[in-house]
Order: sequence, then structure tokens, then C-alpha cells
Amino acid sequence: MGDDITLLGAAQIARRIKSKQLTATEAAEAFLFRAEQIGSALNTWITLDREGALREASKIDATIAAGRDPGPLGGVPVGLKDLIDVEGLKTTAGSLIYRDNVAVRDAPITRMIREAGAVILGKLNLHEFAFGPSGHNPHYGDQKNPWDPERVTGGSSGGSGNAVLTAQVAITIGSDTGGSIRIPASLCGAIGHKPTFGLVTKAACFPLSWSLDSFGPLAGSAEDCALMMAAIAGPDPEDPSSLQVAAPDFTGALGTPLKGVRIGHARSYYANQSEPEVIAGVEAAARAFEEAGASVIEVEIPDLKTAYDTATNFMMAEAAAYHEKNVRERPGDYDPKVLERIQIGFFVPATTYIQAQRYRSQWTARVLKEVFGKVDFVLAAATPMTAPLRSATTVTIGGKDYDARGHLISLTRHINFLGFPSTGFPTGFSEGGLPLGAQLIGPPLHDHKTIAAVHQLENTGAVQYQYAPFNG
Amino acid sequence: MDFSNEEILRHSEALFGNPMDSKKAPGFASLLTSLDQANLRVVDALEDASEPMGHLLTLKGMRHGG
Repeated sequence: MGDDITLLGAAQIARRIKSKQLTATEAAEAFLFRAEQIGSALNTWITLDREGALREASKIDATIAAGRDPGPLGGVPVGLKDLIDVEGLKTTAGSLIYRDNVAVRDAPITRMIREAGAVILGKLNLHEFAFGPSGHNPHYGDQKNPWDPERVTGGSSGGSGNAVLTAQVAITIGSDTGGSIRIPASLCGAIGHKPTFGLVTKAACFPLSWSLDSFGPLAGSAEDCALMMAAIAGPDPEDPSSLQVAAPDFTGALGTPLKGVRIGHARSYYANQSEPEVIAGVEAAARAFEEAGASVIEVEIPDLKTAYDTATNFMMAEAAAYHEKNVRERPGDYDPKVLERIQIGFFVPATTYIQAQRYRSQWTARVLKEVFGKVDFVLAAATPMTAPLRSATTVTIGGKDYDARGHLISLTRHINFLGFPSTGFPTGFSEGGLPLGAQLIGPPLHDHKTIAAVHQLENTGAVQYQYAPFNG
Repeated sequence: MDFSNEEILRHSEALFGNPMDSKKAPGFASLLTSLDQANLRVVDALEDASEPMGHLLTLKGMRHGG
């Protein structure tokens, strides 16, 4: 499938460009050809910027020709979720309301990506306003799963998921408020990292929930995620929630062995609501960690239902606040299902929101003590099922019916409430040929370590990335 | 809190200026009741010392771990 260049992954592309085996222009052309060939069949893109991408690639080539370092991502083609401002391109947030909204400057995260030398091919499709876990979008097209286009990609970073799996770009940036990086990573088969809250700047990016949003990479390897995190993590004075801490050494950490690492398998977190093959995938990952030298014990995360519902109160109130003006003035321009979710937030009393903030502090401290006091990481499923059909409203697991969209998000929202990092990774395929996924959760600012742990499983062969054989 | 269908319809009309589709009110009511019950559990469980900005303080106090 495709051109060989598009199957190399970001780290290899960067190495080959730096060593002049490949030019940035050649790389950009190869990925643009692929994106133009198949992107519309999967509703991957909202804006594909051929001219801008080739202009940037040409600058990278000139930099190399002049003997200067192009940066750690020099010439690597990337795509950004259409919540992120890129100067001169529209930032639509997947909406009608902002369909003509052209950014006047790069968001800080965009600037950091450019400074690392990456070449931005365009803006990726998403669930409207990032407010949904499936990737449905009535305005720009439902994002389609490349393993079976009748199925969802997962969301809200649906374009970010299917773009990577079909080699339309080498790395994408998504956002994760309740699972929106990890869900498409799980359902499409990518490695996706939700950073520690505040580690990556959110300035000049559309918010869903200011206190829960995180922006991070989806890619075909943990190494590629580490490269991108090295570029985008770190303090930003423009972002009020930035932790203002230096980024950890993502690439230096990749070689960290798993010997002596303590993994907590949170079986009770996911097993009673998940498909058997999903459970088997996580158990295989647990065995793989043990075989690589880690110890695995069972852990329980306390108070899950209260935490989930409180996180919901929290998120709904913040989303409603952000959208209040548009909801009052232009309700008809919203996807009706997104509008419904936003409207719920108007019923959350202010005192409930504040109690949720207080509970968040308390629950986080409790999880740090009771869970991460015993283990270094927690392993769990990322989604309880494989990708449902785009037409499905319910899924049946173990004889019980669940709301399809609500169930997708049932294993991820808690982690956003904690603000902890979580790396999603593939665990294999179902009998029906659909990706299975897990997540490895760490304590705050241990992002480099969760990514490194997944990298170690890649080295053993336990995590195997596979491009989807989709050609339009 | 009153999450009757009537109250939801009244409140949504007051907020948004248009009556909500009455078929949606029961779903709203069910979800809001669940969320309200969560808040009641939270109120019972909260320690006096828990502050709204405590979470960010926790994150800021963490270190990379080498």
C-alpha cells in the first residue's frame, strides 16, 4: 500500500531527511498524495494545505542544504486536530459556527511543532467541538474506521486516528478531555498519549473543558510519540493551567528497562463491562510486562462511580459555560446530539461544580496514596469494546445493553479527572479483525515513563503496530 | 433537586427561549438525577480541608521521577 516513505514512521523519516537520504519535499509529496487519494473516503481532513506544506518542506530542505539542524522532527509530515490554530488556516472545531474562522497566528503548540521542524499538512476532522467519543460529524462527515469504514473511528480525535493508521501523516495531534486521544487510538490501533494535565500548552486551542483538556500525539510507535512530546511538552506563559515545569527527557527515557517496574492491573476497573477479547488483550499485555521483567499485581481504583459522575458534572458545566453565547443565539447550527450534551451543563448548580473541584483534589490524593503508593503504573483497557458500527445506538456485552457512545468513554474519563498521563496502545485484533487497545496510566509528570514502558513492549514484539490496508 | 419532566421543560425554556422536545425530558431527568446523586455522595465524603484549587497544587508538587 502507498509509497514506502509513508510507512517509515516519524523517527525514521526524520533520520533519513537529516542524513539527506530523503528530502522533506519528497516526504511531504508522498504523504500529500496519500492524503489526497484516500482522505475524503474516511472523512479524515477538514483542511488539507498542500501549498503550505510544500512551502514548509522546502524551507526544511534549504535549512539542511545550508548545513543547519532542521530539528528533531525535521521534515516529518504531521496533522493537527482542527481545534488548534495554524496561521492562515481555518480552525472550525468541526462546527458550522466556526467554519469561516481563520487563525491569525499559530497556537503555541503549533509554533513548537514548527520549531521542531515538522511539516503541517493540514487540519484533521473531529467530533463537533470535541464533544463526543465516536467521531460522528454531520457537517464535515463522520470519521470512518480504516479497518471497517462502517464503524466509528472513536473520538473526538477521529481524523487524528484514521490519518495515522492509513499513513496520510506520520504523527497527529489530538486532544483528550474524557478519552478523545485514547479512544481513537484503541479503536483504530494507534499509540496515543494523553499527557499530564498542564504539561502541554492549550493556549489558542478550542476548549471543551478548560480543567480537563490535554493535547497529545497519536502515532505508529511509542518512539514517535516520545519525539512529539519532546517537542510540545513544557511551560507556556500564555496558558494559565500550564504547570510551568520543564519537559522530562522523553527520548532519553525510551531505553528504560521494565525490570523492577511495578504494574497494577486494574481488572475491576474494566473487566465487568468489557468484551472478552478486550479483556484477553489486556491480560496478554500484563503477561508481556511480566515476561519483560515487571511485576504485576491486581489493584483497585477507589470510588469509581462517584468519580466518573463527578467528572461528568465538572465537564458539563465547563462546556456549557464556554458555549453559552452560541447555544443561546445559534442552537440550530449545532449537531443536535452535541447540543443536548451542552444543554445538560446548564442544569449543574454552581455549588455542585465547586464540590466537584473539591472532590477532585481529595480523590486525586487518595488515588496517589492507595494506588500509586503501591505501583508505578496502572494497566487497564482503554475502551470496553471494539469499534461499534456508526449506525449503532447500543452495544450488547455479556447480555447487557449499553448506550454505544456512553460506553466508549466509560474507561477514560476518570483519568482526565485525575489529570494523570495515560498512553494508549494496541494489544492485538479481535476475531473480526478489529483493533483491541489498552492504556498504561502513570502518576503526574511520568509521561516519559508510560511511553517508555510501551516502547519496551514494542521491543519484545508484544505491541505490534499495523497499518490498516485501506486504499480508498 | 426537582428533575421532573415539567421542571426540565420549564427550565430549558427559561434558559434557551424555546421549549425542549418533550420526548427528551425523561432522558435529561434520568441523567441529572444520577449526577445529583453523585453530588450528594461527594458532599458526604468531602473533608473540610478539601479546597477547589487543591488538584492543581497536587500536580504542581509532583516531580518527573528521573
